[in-house]
Amino acid sequence: MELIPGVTTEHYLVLSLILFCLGIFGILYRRNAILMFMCVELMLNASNLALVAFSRMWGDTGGQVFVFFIMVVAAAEVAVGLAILMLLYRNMGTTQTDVLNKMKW
Amino acid sequence: MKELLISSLLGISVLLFDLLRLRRAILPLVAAGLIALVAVVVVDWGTASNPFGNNMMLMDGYALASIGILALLTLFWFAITSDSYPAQSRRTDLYALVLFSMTGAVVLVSYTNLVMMFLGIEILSIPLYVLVSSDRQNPLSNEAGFKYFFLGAVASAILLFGIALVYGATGTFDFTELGAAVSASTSNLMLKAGIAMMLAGFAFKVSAAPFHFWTPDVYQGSPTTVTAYMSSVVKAGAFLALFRLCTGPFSAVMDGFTDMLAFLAALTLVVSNLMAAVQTNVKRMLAFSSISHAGFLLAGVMTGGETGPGILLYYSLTYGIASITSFAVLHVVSSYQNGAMEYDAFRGLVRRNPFLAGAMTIALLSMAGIPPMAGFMAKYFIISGIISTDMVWLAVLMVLTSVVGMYYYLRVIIAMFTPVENAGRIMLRGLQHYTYILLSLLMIILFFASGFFEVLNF
Repeated sequence: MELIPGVTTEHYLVLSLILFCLGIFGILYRRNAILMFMCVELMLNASNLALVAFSRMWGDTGGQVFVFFIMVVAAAEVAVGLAILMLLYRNMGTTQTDVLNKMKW
Repeated sequence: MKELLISSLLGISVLLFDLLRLRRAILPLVAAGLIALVAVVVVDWGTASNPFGNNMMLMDGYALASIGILALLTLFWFAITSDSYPAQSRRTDLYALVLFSMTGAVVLVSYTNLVMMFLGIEILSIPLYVLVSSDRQNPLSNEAGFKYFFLGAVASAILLFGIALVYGATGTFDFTELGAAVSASTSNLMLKAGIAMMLAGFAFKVSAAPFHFWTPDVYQGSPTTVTAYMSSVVKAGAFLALFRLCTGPFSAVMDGFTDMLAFLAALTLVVSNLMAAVQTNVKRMLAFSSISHAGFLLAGVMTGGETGPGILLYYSLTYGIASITSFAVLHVVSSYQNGAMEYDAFRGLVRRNPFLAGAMTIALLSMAGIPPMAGFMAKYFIISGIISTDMVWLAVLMVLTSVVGMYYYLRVIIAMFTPVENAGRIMLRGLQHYTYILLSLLMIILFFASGFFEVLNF
């Protein structure tokens, strides 16, 4: 069941793995909270892509419905996460995560 | 279905009562609702239930027992923190968020579909992100909130990718079909990778080493009452969900992951106990102690296939009660010492308020695993389960790390019984005395009632 000729499920899976690894790399590498946040969204969307591809491969709509749920959850998470970032910015005056070192060990 | 309706409607009605200016009635409403939840569990006990929502959830015996324990722990939390929030309006938001988070835990112990599992984890977590950062002016609370939110979101993403891979290997989210597909293709690489990623995501959520780094910071930075809730209800919910997954659809392949789980449990026990022993801050020490209990619970999940769910339920209940009590006492004591949480803050507590000192002593002895406290039987069940599955090295490690645990628990107890000059008395209001007495008694009664849990099977 190829939607585009020559593009198989494996291609979608490899692309989603690349996106997922980019997200993890970004989280480890970036020090700005907003950019780190975008990397988490990238990881979630990598899973969405994989789910939709598998859904088409199996001819089962369950995976595509799950993607809608994930989008709703991600939106809720964004709302709460940005509120926490606002709080952080008001108290610390920056969104760099280097300032978050009050608790160690 | 009734259980889910009661818990979610309770949270909504708390918000409604606030809108209708019935703030005084909120606490009685919450108490009545949670007691009703326990009553529904008791009434439904043993009756066959049908799956609902197109095979999304099933209130089987395991789910009912877990919901009963979660509702009881939440009830104890409300009772013991009832006097800690003087500002009425903010209290309503916190109460509603706690109840919504408990609804997530109810979903997490009764799901029969991976979609509901993911939704349950998120319903449990998102209100907690707000609760952790609810002390808005405090930089520590901000830091804890950000760390918890961020690492929680990463853990969810890893778990989700694991679910996607499992779906790719099996083509279904449903437990019954998943169980059949998993046992038909046990050596599928994509399936194994997916399950490993799901276990890693769960290890984050239940704070097992080496995924535990957020726990001490978040437990220390959050308001102490929120920490009490996190270390009891949230921890129990996450572990009971993991148990449902490992003994349900994935039971056919769990043999291949036993070594990984045993390694995680061993690492958790060693790291947490050594770190707890060097802490000077009691709250942080209790956070590391909570990680060490995660090691025990992880071992309980690992042997769950043979020993049954009873010992895990028993451990969650006894540890939950002990940790709610200890964090509540810490909250009261530190609020009388300008927020100090060092060991010295506990000096002379037995003179300042014998109820608090007694409850704290019993809770700490229960966590250390000394008879006749319930914590002893909880640890005994787990260790004997480990021995029966021929992993004697892990059992020996558990006993050894418990000895280390004795050191830091006894430091608090010794401080409480050290005399101190001109210490003011600590006053407790209203029902609080009775709550501390009730919880202390429960920790001893449960020791003798442990036989009931040991044979619990569904």
